[in-house]
Amino acid sequence: MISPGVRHVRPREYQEACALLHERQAAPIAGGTELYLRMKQGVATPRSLVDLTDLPGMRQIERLADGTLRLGAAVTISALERSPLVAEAAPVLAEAAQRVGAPQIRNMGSLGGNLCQETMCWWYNRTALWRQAKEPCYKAGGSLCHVVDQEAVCYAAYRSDLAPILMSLEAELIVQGRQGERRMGIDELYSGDAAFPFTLAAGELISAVLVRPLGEGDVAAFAKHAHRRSIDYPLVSLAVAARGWTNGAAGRLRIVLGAVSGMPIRVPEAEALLEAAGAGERSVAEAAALVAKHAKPVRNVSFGAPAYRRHIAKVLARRLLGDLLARRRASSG
Amino acid sequence: MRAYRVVGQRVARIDAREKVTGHALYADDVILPGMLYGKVIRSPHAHARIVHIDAGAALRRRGVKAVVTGRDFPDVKFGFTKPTQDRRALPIDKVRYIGEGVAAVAATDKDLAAEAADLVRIDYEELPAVFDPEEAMKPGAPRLHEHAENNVSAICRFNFGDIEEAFRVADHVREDSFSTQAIMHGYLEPFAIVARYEVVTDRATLWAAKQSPYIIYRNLARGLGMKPSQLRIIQPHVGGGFGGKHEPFDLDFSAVMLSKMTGKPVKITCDMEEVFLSAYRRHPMRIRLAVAARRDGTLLGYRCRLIADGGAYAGVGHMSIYLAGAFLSLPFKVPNLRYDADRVYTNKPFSGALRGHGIPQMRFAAESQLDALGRDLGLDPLDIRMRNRVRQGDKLANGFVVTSCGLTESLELAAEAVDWTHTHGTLRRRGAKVRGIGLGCGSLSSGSRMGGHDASTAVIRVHEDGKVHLLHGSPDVGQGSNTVLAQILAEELGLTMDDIQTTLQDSDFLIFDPGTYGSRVTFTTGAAVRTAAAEIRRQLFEAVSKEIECAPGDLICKEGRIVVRGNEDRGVSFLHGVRLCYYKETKPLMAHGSATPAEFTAHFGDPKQLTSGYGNLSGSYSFTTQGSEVEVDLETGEISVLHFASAHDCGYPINPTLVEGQLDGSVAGGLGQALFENLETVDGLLLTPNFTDYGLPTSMESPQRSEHFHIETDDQFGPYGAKESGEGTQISTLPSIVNAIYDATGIWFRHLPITPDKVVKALQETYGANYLDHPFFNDPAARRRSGGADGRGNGRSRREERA
Repeated sequence: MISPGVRHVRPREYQEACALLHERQAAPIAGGTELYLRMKQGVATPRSLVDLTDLPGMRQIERLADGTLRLGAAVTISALERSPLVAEAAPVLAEAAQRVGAPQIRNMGSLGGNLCQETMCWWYNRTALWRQAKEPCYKAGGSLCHVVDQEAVCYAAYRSDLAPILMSLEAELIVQGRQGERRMGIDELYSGDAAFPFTLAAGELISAVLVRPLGEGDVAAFAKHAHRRSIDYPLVSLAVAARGWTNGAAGRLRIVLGAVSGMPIRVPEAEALLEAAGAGERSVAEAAALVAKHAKPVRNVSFGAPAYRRHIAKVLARRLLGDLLARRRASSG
Repeated sequence: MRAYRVVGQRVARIDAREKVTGHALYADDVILPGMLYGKVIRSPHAHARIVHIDAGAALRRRGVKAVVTGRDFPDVKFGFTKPTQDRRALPIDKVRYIGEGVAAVAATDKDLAAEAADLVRIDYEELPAVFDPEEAMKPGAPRLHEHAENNVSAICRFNFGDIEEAFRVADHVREDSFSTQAIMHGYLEPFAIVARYEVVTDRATLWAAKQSPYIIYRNLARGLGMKPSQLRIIQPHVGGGFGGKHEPFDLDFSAVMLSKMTGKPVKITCDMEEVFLSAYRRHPMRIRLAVAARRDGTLLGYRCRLIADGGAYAGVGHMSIYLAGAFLSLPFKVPNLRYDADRVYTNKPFSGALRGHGIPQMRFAAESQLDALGRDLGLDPLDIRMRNRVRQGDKLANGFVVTSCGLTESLELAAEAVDWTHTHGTLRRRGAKVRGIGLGCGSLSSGSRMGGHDASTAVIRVHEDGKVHLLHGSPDVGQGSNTVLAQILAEELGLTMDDIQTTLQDSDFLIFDPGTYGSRVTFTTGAAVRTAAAEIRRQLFEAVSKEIECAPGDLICKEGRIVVRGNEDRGVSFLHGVRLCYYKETKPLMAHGSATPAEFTAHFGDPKQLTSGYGNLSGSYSFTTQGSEVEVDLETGEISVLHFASAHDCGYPINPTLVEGQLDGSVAGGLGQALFENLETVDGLLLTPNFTDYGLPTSMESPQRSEHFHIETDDQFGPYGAKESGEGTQISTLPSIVNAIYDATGIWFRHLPITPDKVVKALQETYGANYLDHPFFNDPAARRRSGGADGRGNGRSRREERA
C-alpha cells in the first residue's frame, strides 16, 4: 500500500531539487517503475517524492562539442533505445536498453533510475504481509541475512541492465549537490555494500551520464541471461568494451559482470589476459574461467541457482570474448 | 455432410467488443452507494494456535466500521464431501499455512482498511509445522487436523484385473519415480467480491469473480449459516479461471459478514500476492510407477504408488487423486491396474483443481515412461502408442466406456506434422544447439457427475421483436462458452449470431449449473440449450401451422424463416412466427431445457466411489496427440519450443477458432509447468509470490509455430457431436515436451520443472564436463547405438533374467 500522505514536488532548478532531496524521507523519482513497486511493498517509505523530470537537460540526449554523448538522467529507456545519437555513438547501449523489462516499463523508466536501482533479494523485496513471516534482515534494518548469515553482510544483488555496459564504456556521471556540480567515474557510484549500495550523499542526484563514443577500432558487446526472454531482471549479465581494438593499437579492454553481486564487477585479470599480444583461444578460455571465478552469486533471486549463474557467467564470457578476439584477428589478418 | 450455418463457423466472440473496449464489468468494477472496503488479515505463521485477537485499536480508528473473526461465524465446517469437511469461514482454533485469512476489517476506504488491518493484534502460539508430505505421514509428525491420522486427507485404492498375474507373465517390467511441482493457475484477475446484505429480507447479494457460483452458493451458505436461497449471486465477467475459482475463500465469507455487521455493502479485492499466498494450486505429486509389458510393447499392467501434497485443507483433493488414477490407463488400453494414492496434509496453501485436474501429473509419468519402455524393447514411441491405443467401443479396466475416438488419426497427424519417421532419433545440431521431437497423447472426460446437483439449465425467451435471449447457468470465464452456446441456439432456430443475446448468470433468475469445470459446459449446457430451443420451435410451429395450414411436424427453421420442409417458399418469417405466438395465440414465447450427464455416468460425488475408482466418469472422452519440437542450448541449458502440433479429437469443433485458442492456451500452460513455473517454498513461505518471481511464460516463450488439426468423430452424446476441448490438451503437453528433450539430449527428466540449471547439471553428470564433445552430440551412429543416457539400464527383461 502506498501511504496516502506522500507529497509530490517538481522542482525546476537543481539547487531546489537538492535542497528538497536533503530533507528527511525524500526520494527522487523520474519514471517510478521501481520506486512505486518498492513503496507498494513498503520497503521504501518516502514522505516526499522529488520529481526530477523538469530539471534542465534531464530529458536531453546530445553530442557535446568534443563528441561526448551526454545522456540526461531522466531520459527514458525507450528514448535510449530509439535515439539516433545513441545508435551512432554507442549502439551497444541501445541494445542493452532493449533488454530492460518490457516496453511499458521502458516507456516510463529512466536511465538514472536504472543506474540507481536498489539491490534486490527475494527475502527482502516483499510486501509487509510476507516480511512478517521472517525476521528483518540487514537491508531491512535487522541483524541477520537470510541468504548467507556468516558475516554481517547483506547479499542482495544489483541487477541494473545498463550499469555493466556503461561501466565497460567507462562512462562518467554528472552529480548535482547543494554545493554544486561534480563529475565522477561510474565505478565510484557503488559502495560495495549491498545494504547501502550507492555513494551519493543526501541531497545529491545524478543529472547526466557522459559516454565517450565508440570510434573506429572500438568494439563493445552486451549479453544478458534471464529466466524469460522479456520482463525479467538478469540472472547474470556481461558487458565488454574494447577501445583501439581492431585498428592495430595496443587495445584496452573492460569486462564487467552484472547481477551477481551488490555492484557491477570488473574483471581486470581477464582484461589483461586478452589485452596481451598473442592472446588466443586458450586465453579466451582462461579469461572466461576468471570471469566465472569473480562471479560469486548466492541464492538470492528466483531461478538463480548459484552454480548455474557461475556457469552462465563463463558461457557468456566465452561467447563475448571469443567473438572479440575473432574480430581483432580478422582486423589484423 | 453437415450443412450447418452457424455451428462449426469461426464466428467472433459475442463479448469481444465489450472486453476490448473495457466496458465489460468485473467484480472489482462494482461500486455501490455507501460501500465499505475490506481487507483480510493473514497469518504470518505456517502452523500456530490463535491465542487472542484484539481488534480494539483498529475499531477506535475513525472510519473503521467492523472487524470480523472466525468466532463471528457459526460453528460449522464445509467441504467437497462429508469426510473432507475441514474448512471454516475463518479459522477459530489455529492457522495452518502462511497467508491463511484470520480476520478482516471494513473501513470507509481502501487505504484505511489496510492501515486498520495492521492495528488488529493477533497473538499466536507457534506450533511445529510439516511441509513434506512423506514427513507428514510419519508417526509423531505435527498433526494439522484432529480427524486425520498421519495427516492423510484422502486415499484411493484401485485394483482392477489381476496385477500380480500381469507382472508375472510380463516379458519386461520397469519401475520409475517422478515428481511434479506446485503451480498456479495464472489467471490475471485476482479474487474480488462485493457483498450487500439486506436486513429487511435477510438475504445477501454477491458479485464475485468465480467460475462456479453454485459451489460457492452451497459452501458459502453453509459457512455463513444461511440457506442457499438467502443468497443472490450475480455473475460478473471473470478474468480467467483455469479451475482456480471454485472454492469460497476468506474474503467471500468476510465480505458478507462485514456487510451484515455494518449494514453497508462491502468490497474486498485481493492483490496478486494475496492470491499467490492463499489460493489453491496444482497438487505436487510423487509418483512411483511400475509397468508390465509384452516383448512387442503391449501394456499388461500398471502398479502405481502416488503421494500428493495436499496442503492445509482437503478441497476437492479426493477428486484430484481419483482423476490421476482414473487416467492411469486412458488414452491406452491397460487391462490390469493397481493404484494406491494418499493425499496428505502439509502446512502450505491447499491443492486443488487446475486445468486437467490431477491428470497431467500422471500422464507426464506414464507417457514419458512409455518412451523409455520403447527404448528397452527397441520399439519406436509411435509404434508403442499405436499398439496400445484405445478405440471406439472399448471398455476399460476401470469401467470407462469409449463412445467415440479419434486417437489413431491424431497419432498419424501429429507424427506427420513433426516428420516423425525421418526426424526422430536423428542428430540435429548446430553450434551449441540440438533439436529433438517428442509425442504425447491425452484424453479427458467431457463433464462428469460430481454429486449433488449436476444438471445444466437453459432458459430461452423470444422477444416480440424477434430477438432471442439466452440465460444459462454456466459462467463463461474467458474460454468463450457463451459464444458457443449462442451459436448452438442460432443454429437451432435458423437465425444468425446477431439475433442472439445472452446475460450473465443471476441466481434469482435461473437455476445455477454446478459450474464451469471438468470440461462440461459445451457438452452438458449445450445439450440443455438444444432441448430448450426444441421447445421454442414446438411453440412456434404450432402457431405457424395454424396460420399456413400445415402439420407442425412439417415445419423447419431456416435462414430467419419458418418454412415447410421440402417446400420452402411456403412459410413465414421468424419474426412473423413470433408475433403469431404473442398476438394471435397470446402465448409469450419462453422455454427452458435441462441436461444431465447422469444417464451414462457413475456418481463420483460418493467418497467410496472415489476411493475404489470403478465406474464410467463421463459420457464421452476427447483424444489428443501433440507433436513438439524443442531446441536445447547445451551451453546455457535453455529450452525453446519451436513447433507444437496438436491433433485433437473434440468430436466436432463448434467454433474452430475458440477450440484453437484452447489448444494454444493448454500448450502454454503445459509448457509453463514443464519448463518455467514453480511455487518454491522454504519452511512454508512462498519465495515466488508474484508473476515476476514465479516466471509464468510469456508470448516470447510460447511455441514459435503452432499447428492445429481438428479430428471430427461426431460423438453420439455431445451436441453436434462435440466433446470437450478446454483442458484435455494440457495433458499431452508435458510428456510431449519431456520426450522431445530426451530426443535432443538423451536425458530423461523425471522431475519438474526442467529449468536450465537442471539441464546443465544433468548434461555434466551424464556426459562429463566436456559434454559438447561427447559422441552423443557428434556422431549420429553413436546416438542410435546408445539409445540415450538412461539406456537399457533401468528396465529388466524377463528373458535376460532367465538367461
